[in-house]
Amino acid sequence: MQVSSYVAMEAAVSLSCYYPEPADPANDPNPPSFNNGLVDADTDHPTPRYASQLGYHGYLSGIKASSGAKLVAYQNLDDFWLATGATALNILDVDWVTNQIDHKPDDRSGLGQYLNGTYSGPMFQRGVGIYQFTRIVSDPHEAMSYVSRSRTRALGAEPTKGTPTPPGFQSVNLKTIYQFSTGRPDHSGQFQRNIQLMYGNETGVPWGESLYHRLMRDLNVDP
Amino acid sequence: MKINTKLVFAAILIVGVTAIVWWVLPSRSKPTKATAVVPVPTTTIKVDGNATAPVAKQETAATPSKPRLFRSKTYPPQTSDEKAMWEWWRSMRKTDPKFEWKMPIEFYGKVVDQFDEPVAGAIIIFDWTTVIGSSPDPQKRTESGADGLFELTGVQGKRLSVNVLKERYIYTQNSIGSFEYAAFFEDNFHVPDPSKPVIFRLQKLTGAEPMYKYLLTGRVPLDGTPFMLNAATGKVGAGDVAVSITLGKGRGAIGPDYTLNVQGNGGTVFAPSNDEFLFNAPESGYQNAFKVTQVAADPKYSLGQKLRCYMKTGTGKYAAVEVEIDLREKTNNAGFFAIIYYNPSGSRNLEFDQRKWLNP
Repeated sequence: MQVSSYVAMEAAVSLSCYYPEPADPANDPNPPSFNNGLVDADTDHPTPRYASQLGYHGYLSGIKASSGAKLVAYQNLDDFWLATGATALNILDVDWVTNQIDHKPDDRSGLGQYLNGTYSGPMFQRGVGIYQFTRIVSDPHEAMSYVSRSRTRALGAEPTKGTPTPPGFQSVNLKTIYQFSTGRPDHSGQFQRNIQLMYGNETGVPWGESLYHRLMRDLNVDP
Repeated sequence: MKINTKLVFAAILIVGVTAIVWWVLPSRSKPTKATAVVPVPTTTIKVDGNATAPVAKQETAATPSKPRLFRSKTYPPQTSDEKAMWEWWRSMRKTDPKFEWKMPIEFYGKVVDQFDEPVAGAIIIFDWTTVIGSSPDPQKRTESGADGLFELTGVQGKRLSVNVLKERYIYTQNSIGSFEYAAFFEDNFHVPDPSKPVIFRLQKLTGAEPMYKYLLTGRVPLDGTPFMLNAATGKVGAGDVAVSITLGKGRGAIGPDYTLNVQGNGGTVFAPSNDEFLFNAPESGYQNAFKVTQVAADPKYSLGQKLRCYMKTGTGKYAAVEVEIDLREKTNNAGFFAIIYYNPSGSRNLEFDQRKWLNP
């Protein structure tokens, strides 16, 4: 498959995926912006960090070189589902960061649990005693879904102050350019917002370029 | 048969309810060092001596008292104050996983224009995330007072977004803001201070003239062949501006060295600018060409370039030009996009008001 444009819209993908895994972790020349809440959670319950360990960091770092595509990230640091939202029901954690903190590794009550063994690494365990079943997790997608915790926010919930866009990416700051906010409709706002707000703000002042025009341009489709 | 069907449905219902109860009742959080949870009367949180508000309805015996919160990016924590904040943070997460969305929100702001004059009657839109009330993403609106001041108090939540608007004013980079009230390690953690309101800036329209606004798109070849456009008519293919790109020999992981050249023909000249608004074309300081060079080895290297400049045509008319170019080696060209605000009167006033837009 040939990819000419890669547009990540409010993407629920760890920012660290797009940064190269450093040869020396103690001296990373180009580190992503870490979220200390996630880093702190990992000190209590360590999980794999780098792609070579079945973690996130570096997993998609070669995307530019391998695809040659134009890479664009549409970002809103206040995104409800990626960074700031919650529901009143305690049984539901809805935002991406809280999920990373509380459900990595995932201990699905009654259905078995994922663990990160000190020596064995990610594994899945079900049952107790002689009925216990244990399986080593070796698939990176399974590991990232259920075991490995991101140390960064999602790509779509950046940029925080001073954070560079991932290498090779261009960015569209949905907050400052199109005034996206904390509301739920603003996640996937390109589909869920009032259509008038794709062209200008509430007082009728038009955006320099409408969001749809910008999107078509980034998708390499001549408007 | 009918009874059996009922029994089967009843059994399924019982199993289903049991499964849900089993799922919901036991804590799904990880084992913690916190002691048993004991109910206590409604407690309060205090931010820097400001408002108090009821928050958690239970607390562990081991929960430390809430320290003074301030923004801290240091991890691991170094000072005793930082350690106290982290200890409180961890304890609160174990006690009440939703505590972040119950923080008291207080906000003080002021709206000013580009001359630092207070703006009265601006619409202020507050959005925040919370678990208090019927909606997790509530919104509130108010207006700035005669002194430009406004405030929000008496609500609880985690993240507050503030957006400032007013008719006949243009939004700026500083007319919207994001403020975090729980995660003190975030860049936008906010400690409210009524004596230091957050400044929001709107750009006042002071006398816009009828203008053309053009959105131009096209492809610039990567072999140095110029891409031509006409700022006065908004047409591409011919005109008084030539944009070309030449590739260098160096190459990095992301792309090649390249130089972007902009050349004026027939007396057209440019004055690059970093102004947020290209509203007042300068009298002098123009040049008939400029270029931007990107070296692949530069850590800030990008395949995309944004250029902003004033332009004076050979006929003495002025325009504001914003250009974006992104290299696409696969197609051997670069995407070209420009917004041109062109004043046909010859005035240097380039303030744009959509109500005086000549070609909407």
